[in-house]
Amino acid sequence: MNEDTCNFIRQAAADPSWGLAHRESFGLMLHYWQRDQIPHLAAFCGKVRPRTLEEIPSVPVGLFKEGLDFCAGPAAHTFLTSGTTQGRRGAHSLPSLDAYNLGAELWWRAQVPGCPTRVISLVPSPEQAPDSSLGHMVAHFASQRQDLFDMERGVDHAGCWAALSQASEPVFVAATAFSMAHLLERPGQVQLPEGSVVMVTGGFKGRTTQLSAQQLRAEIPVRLGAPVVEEYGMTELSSQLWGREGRFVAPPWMKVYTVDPLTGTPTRDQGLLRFVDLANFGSCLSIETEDLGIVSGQEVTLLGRLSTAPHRGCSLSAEEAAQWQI
Amino acid sequence: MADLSPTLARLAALDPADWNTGLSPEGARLAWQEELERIQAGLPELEPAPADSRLWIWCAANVFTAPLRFALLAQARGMEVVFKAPSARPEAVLAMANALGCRVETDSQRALAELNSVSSPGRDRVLAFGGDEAMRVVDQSLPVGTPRSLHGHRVSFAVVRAADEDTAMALAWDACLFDGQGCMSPAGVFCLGDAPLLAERIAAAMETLAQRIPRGPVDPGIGPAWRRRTGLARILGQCWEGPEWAVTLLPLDRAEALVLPRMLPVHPLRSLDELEPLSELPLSTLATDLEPMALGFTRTVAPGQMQRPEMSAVHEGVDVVEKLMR
Repeated sequence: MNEDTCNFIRQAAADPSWGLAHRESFGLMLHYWQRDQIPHLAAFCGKVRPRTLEEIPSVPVGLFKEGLDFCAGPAAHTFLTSGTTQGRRGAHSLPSLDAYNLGAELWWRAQVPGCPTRVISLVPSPEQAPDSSLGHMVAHFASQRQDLFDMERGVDHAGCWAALSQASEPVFVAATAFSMAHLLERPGQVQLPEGSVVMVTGGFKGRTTQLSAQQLRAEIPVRLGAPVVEEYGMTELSSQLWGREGRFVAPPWMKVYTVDPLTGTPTRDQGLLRFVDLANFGSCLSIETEDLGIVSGQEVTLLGRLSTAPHRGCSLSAEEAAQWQI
Repeated sequence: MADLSPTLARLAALDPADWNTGLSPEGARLAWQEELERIQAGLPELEPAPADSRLWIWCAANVFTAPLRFALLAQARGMEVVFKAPSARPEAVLAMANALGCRVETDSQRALAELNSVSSPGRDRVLAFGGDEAMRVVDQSLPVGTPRSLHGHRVSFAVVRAADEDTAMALAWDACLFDGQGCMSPAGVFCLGDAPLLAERIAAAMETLAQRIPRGPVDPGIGPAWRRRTGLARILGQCWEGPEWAVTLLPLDRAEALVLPRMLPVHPLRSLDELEPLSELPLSTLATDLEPMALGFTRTVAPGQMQRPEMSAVHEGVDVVEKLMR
């Protein structure tokens, strides 16, 4: 199935119309195969027999924090969530990284054509954080890589400004929104070589910075002299979306739709985002996020994180309750 | 002691259906009616309070009936009562205050400023319900020496051996009254007996009660947590679910302290020793058909009585009359 999925991704990347036309039948075949391979997924789906991608029971990202086994076979690699917003870290295990690597590279090349492969990285390196899917993706894109993020100390601001100012050839600067905001809070301005690209990904995850997301987007071209691309990805997905100003494009091997946050029923308006990612062949195709958005075909406008139920009165809050385990 | 009959008659004439209680009209009316009946049956004989004393009641937005009994106890002793209404849902407090002839303050800052004014030294006492953060602010903002009884976050559980239909119905009442709002709502049921049978019977009872007292409106933000827990139960145990309720059967090590509206988790228990970790939580009410147990609960009742606190001056182990009305 690994090879079949890679072939599908290759063909869909070469001919997106073909990918969109065949996505449903291939996805459903993958889903039923996954149910045979993954007892926890089979139990989660119960008696539901989907006939469309939207009918595939969608696994909430919260379930990846429960130590369940959603891997179709022995895990070749496990990515972990950052655990910044909640205590427990989610784990996404995959039996192979072939589809992940192939899909990530092909869609990045399609959406950021001509992007340099000399990377200045402000994200965790695979050597320091082998469980970071973001670090893995960035390293996979790189022919040369300069790591300026340390797991203990964070971004090496001085080193980063020095590396940026010394760049003599086009570079791909990869950063989380949080690390880029902190970099830009320090003095410095450069004009990166023509052809350079700056990637930002993720939100601030409740941490404080002096810059809003909008200010960050506006400031990067001024301070770094290069255009900004945005990446939307998550540990529980194998594919990424690329875009600008909060509008992202999903690859043709991924279907995105929205649901009513409370009931989980599909909606045509804004709602909770669900991704059916065929590159997730080795775990669960359909993932329910906690992000709100609007979907139009393959285009997704990100509206931000769903606020969990406002806490009222004297019962324990979700954060307090999450601290306790019997 | 003042004659409260006219006041109780005025209160009984009110309809809480439009008070934005977070409950359905049926749920709000039932909660109101039951609370008035308990008050009427159990209002004790009281000595007068010190002359010119005033009780401030800081109300939380969840359990709308909670302040009423203490307001009546204070009025019966001749105290002036002032309500601090919750900014999120002031309607219930405004209606009650009107019937009781009490003043209402809706702004925290103004209320605290008045409590700190020099014109009323030694006159005020404060009874407050709400979140821990709100209680901390009230505590720090009150003048030193102002008598106070502050009641922050707590959580409640049931521990039973029986799995008969009466016990199941009683526990379903505990989960349905107030829709899981407030610290007396059960976060889970631990069963020493036949836990799967009990869960199945609670589910049948929840279905029955859903027809009689529908759930009120809930925040869409609970959706992901709801689907995470029901999904976990499908994988590791069992799940019974209606449109507005759920009962999950989950292993003991999956017990959580977070209450979701009309979702009642049931956990098999081998021995009471396994409940030791409960003592790490700020506990409120224990419903049990066993001997009382020393885990730190402030109140022990029979199943079905968790959300029906007996008319008493004691709240969470604190004798409010003794502390604030003498």
